[in-house]
Amino acid sequence: MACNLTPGPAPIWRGVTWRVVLVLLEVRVNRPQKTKETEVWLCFVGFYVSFDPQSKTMNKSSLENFRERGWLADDVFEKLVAIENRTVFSVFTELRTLLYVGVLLLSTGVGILVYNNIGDIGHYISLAALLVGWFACLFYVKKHHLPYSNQRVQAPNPYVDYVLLLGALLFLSALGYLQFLFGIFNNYLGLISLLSAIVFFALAYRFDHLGVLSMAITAFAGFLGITITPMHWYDINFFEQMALQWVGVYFGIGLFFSALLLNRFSIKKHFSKTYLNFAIFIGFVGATSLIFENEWKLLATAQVVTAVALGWFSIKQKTAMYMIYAFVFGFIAFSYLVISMIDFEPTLILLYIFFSCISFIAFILFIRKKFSQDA
Amino acid sequence: MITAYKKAQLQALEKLNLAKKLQKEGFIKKDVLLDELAADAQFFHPNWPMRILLFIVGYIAFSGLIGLWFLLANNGIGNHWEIFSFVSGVLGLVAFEGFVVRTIRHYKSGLSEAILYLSLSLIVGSFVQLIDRETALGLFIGFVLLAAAAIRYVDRTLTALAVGCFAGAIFFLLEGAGGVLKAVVPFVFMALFSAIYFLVKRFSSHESLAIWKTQMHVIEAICLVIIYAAGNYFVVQKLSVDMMYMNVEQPSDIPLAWVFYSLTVLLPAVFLYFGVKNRDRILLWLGLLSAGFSVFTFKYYFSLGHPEITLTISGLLVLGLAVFLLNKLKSPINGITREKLGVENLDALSAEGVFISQTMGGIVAKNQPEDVFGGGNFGGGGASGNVD
Repeated sequence: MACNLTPGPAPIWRGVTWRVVLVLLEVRVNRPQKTKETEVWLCFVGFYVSFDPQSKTMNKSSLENFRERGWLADDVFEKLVAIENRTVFSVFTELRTLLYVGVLLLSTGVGILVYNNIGDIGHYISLAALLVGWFACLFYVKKHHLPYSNQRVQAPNPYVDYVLLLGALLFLSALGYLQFLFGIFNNYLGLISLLSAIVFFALAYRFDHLGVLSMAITAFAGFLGITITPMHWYDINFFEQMALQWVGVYFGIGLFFSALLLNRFSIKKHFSKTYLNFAIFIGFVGATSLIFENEWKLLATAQVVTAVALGWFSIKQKTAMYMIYAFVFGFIAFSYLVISMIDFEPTLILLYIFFSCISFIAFILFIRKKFSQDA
Repeated sequence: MITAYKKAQLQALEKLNLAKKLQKEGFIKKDVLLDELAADAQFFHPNWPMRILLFIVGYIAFSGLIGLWFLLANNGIGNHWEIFSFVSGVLGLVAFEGFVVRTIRHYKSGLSEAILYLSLSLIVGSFVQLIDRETALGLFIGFVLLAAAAIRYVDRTLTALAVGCFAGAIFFLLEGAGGVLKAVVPFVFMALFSAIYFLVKRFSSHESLAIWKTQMHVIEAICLVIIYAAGNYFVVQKLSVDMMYMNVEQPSDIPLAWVFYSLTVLLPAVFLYFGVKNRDRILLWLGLLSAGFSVFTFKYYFSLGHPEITLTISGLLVLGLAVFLLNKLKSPINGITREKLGVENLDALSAEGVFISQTMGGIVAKNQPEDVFGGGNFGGGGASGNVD
């Protein structure tokens, strides 16, 4: 995610990219209970996999059978049938999507409007408008939201989450504008990222918002110099400067253990999956990129060991999601070691690929009962 | 037997999944044992993180195997690649049905899809090689093979690809014919896919075809996309210029431009109207998407050069519309509610008002406290099975 907030010659495209990524993040915000444990790019896959708008999963004869077995009370059965035959029809998802699209269009439009008309409208008016907008959003959210709790807090009405998101986006624009106008961050551009990270973390915890939490994590990574975009996970030049790869590794490790720590103290337990996804992903991509840059076999071995540990963690947590990361990054590092050993003989490489993957499949199918949630 | 899977077993699997979902959401008590259902449904059909994992690993494994197979056969087959590829694909399918379906009993486990897609791509690839890349014919053969596989293996991705191949084949056929046929491509497409849409719609509630219900929904959605695209001015204009080399320099325009302009406006409206009227979510979603694309189309040709103002105003309008509808539906109207319902959420169901409005003939009891819907706990734990 482009976390570089410096207004430059092309802030528009940067702003647009930032918001496009947010659309994807929004899939999390919108359907948190379904996708909180996934990376953004997996939302696409998730959407495809769950494509079933007319819900064939509710089958009247099955429901009748459950009632006959005495599993469903008569009144519950009637409610379910009403949903099944669409006498009751929910437009929950559609309306939330409209709200989100509205926030997205509005904040993009306002962002570009301000940049394009810098000087015309009057600096102070633009800045004041952005800040007033931000405060208005915060005021609304503060007024309507429930008090803080270490547990999950549900939004009291349908608007709060979106108003908060709009507020966060306006805050970004305001910071960028401040820098443009006064150059107050000139010598410390990273401070913009740090400041937004702090504000976003505070908002995410106070108002229990997974989308803003993701923004906070990426802003913090931006402060460390890593401009990450989950959309470019396949890009080998993920960390543009070499020196940042180690930062990525440390950041990943740090984030991973802070998430476990927060989880231990039961502070917003439902946030930990978001943290872990970012941590595992950033850490492993940094390490993988180091391995290939420096042809570093020791690090590759370390990555294999870490991946095995992560696989074990995944079984412990009964979450197949982490196993995907463990396999992908562990397999890359392990293959790197093996292939550099067998000296690029095509037949051997293909044999190795087939047998290693087949044995992994056999292993997964053997232990599949451990993933009670997923299998 | 049309399908590779026994119908009764698929239905048993569906029943088991429904029971699991209902139990997770609390409709069925936690202490009810689903062993009997689990015994009926003998397939391994995991949730999607597991499916993705198995698909990735399986795809790499069998790509390796195919590479090895071709490498070993390199000397023996000379230039009979197509036949070899075809035979390999058929072997893959045999292994799929014999081993994956019958022996280890996987149903859409990720692993099964990896083997199936790789085998089919070998078979389709061999045909495409054989006919020397004749586009329309190749697409048509692809359509026939993929459609057969989609029906036999009850698979959405194959269904979508088959419909895509069919549309492509028709397009290139008409384009190759030239003359009048070439000029009426949009109308042929609209008529043809409307016919397919209504046909599928008619059969999608048929009890005996129930196991292909999701596939039929996929076809419905793709048909609507194609119908809209064939009527959209932007698509028609770009395709006329890029693919049919039509000269539409300013100030001349594509023929019948006004027809396409009006269709660009009318189609989303029609989709939305019938989506709400018939409570058809596919129509509703495509209505929303196509409405957005129609706005884009008009702004593309009639822009005043201020995209940011358009963005801001449309953002305000969309937000306004959403807030308006959310307020309007605070209490349900004719059973249409803003709350989340269904297997995903128990609490909205305890909001009796929704059902009262049904049983009392669509009139909402006005004396309900407003937050009877709002206070619900929308949390379902974990990845509530969003796998079909």
